[in-house]
Amino acid sequence: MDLVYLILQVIINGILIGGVYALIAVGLSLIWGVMEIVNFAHGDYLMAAAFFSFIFWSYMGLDPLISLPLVVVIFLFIGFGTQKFVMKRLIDSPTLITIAATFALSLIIRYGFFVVFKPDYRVIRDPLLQGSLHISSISIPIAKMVTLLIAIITMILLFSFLKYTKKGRAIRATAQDREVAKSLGVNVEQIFLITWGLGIACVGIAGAMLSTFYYVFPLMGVTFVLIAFASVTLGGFGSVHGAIFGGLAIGLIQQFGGTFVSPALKDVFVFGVFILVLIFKPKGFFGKY
Amino acid sequence: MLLEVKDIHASYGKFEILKGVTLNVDEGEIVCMIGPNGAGKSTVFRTIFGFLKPLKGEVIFKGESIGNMPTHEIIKKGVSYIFQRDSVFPNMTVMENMKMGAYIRDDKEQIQKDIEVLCKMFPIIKERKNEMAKNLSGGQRQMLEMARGLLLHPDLFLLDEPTAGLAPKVQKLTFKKIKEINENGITIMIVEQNARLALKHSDRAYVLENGKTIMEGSGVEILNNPRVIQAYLGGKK
Repeated sequence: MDLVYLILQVIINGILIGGVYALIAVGLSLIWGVMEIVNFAHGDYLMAAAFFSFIFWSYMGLDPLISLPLVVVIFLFIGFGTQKFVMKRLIDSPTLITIAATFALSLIIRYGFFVVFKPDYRVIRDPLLQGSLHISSISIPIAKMVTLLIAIITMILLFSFLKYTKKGRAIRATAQDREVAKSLGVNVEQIFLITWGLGIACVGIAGAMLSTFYYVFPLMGVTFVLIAFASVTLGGFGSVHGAIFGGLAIGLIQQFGGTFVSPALKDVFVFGVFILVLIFKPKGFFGKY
Repeated sequence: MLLEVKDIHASYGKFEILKGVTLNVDEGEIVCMIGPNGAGKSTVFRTIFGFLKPLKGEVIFKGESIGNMPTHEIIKKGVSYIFQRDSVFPNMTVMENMKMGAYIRDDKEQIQKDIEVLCKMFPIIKERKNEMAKNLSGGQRQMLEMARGLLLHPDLFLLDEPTAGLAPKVQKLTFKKIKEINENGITIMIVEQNARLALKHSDRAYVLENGKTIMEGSGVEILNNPRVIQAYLGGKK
């Protein structure tokens, strides 16, 4: 019986953290799907968002949950800015150039925060979301539960936007065939702008919510971006559904490995699966490439 | 005169593809362009459509120079272009593809009415409206592409090898549709591999060779020209 509870607990933990991974991966996959740009700075945007939440809390006394709408708007515009001031110049550049550009962005953001905030680990004390929900011997931390809920709501909103609005349709059209979209009058540069905005807003939400139950420090993006890459690869590059599947799957793999084998090895399992997927199913499970 | 192309030159990088193309299209005509592979037929279309800027020469549409306009403005002037390659959005439904055709339009009610009219003209769209476009056959995709292009209300419809890869029976159907579109007052310009079929259905034709227009005439004239017969019609009349 204990084993059943343990397994249930591990599944719940996996889904809770997997929801965050999914939200990070969705933005990464969207940006790849529409523009064929691999955003190596994705984890650093996540870190920056966590820092914004931390700053709002420490200087203005705003709980991350309260400042969330602010962070979303800020990161929407940071996404627009990334396209407008950096990536716009590289639209038809080879992949290697855009990789170098996002890698440079990653280093600038990461070590910019490193210089200003030092490498220290920070925690938001006394957040609104604390404690755990207990159902017999299973416990669910409230902060993680609310984070999952917000991740789900965000992804539903994103899907509805892509599926049912005119601009969303144009984003999908551009992802499927940029030249044909252009031939029907789609302003592709505007679509890229919106895509960067949405992708970065998603990772912004993930970063802000992470700050409620995770340490905030300048190098925190490194692990998360690798996990996001693994999630996107598992789901299939360019597929937004796939990214969600991948995020959840990676969350579960990590928790099962960490609990039943060794916590120290949990990421070994994640990247072991990553390599297996690359070998046996390089397109991922939902991928177009 | 609806369209005048005056001595245009254009290149991809270092490769000069067009070395002096001159042609004109009158309102209501079906004009066909034939020529060997690599002669620059598609490049002429891409230059008219604003995908490629001419290095020299002029493109005049309805009396206005459009050679340096961006594509989305050329569309608004009334030009629609269907690519040679497959150009449906594969992972969108047939109806979503249609809606993309009306992307630059804001008149929702009229769009709905237009779609209904086009459904009558191309019944396949109504029959398979919720199907992913990738599941359509080649001929059905061609119909969808044409219907989608018509939603822009073009005055000039550029069709780049509309029958490529289609079965002979479907090729004939495609030309029947092209005639039907033309009868609705839309001027049509076609590039075709299947020269015989295209010339038979065209009012006038141009022969393009090595980036230059080398011959002009009515569809019948070109069809009976000994040199064309020799070079493009397999030597048979």
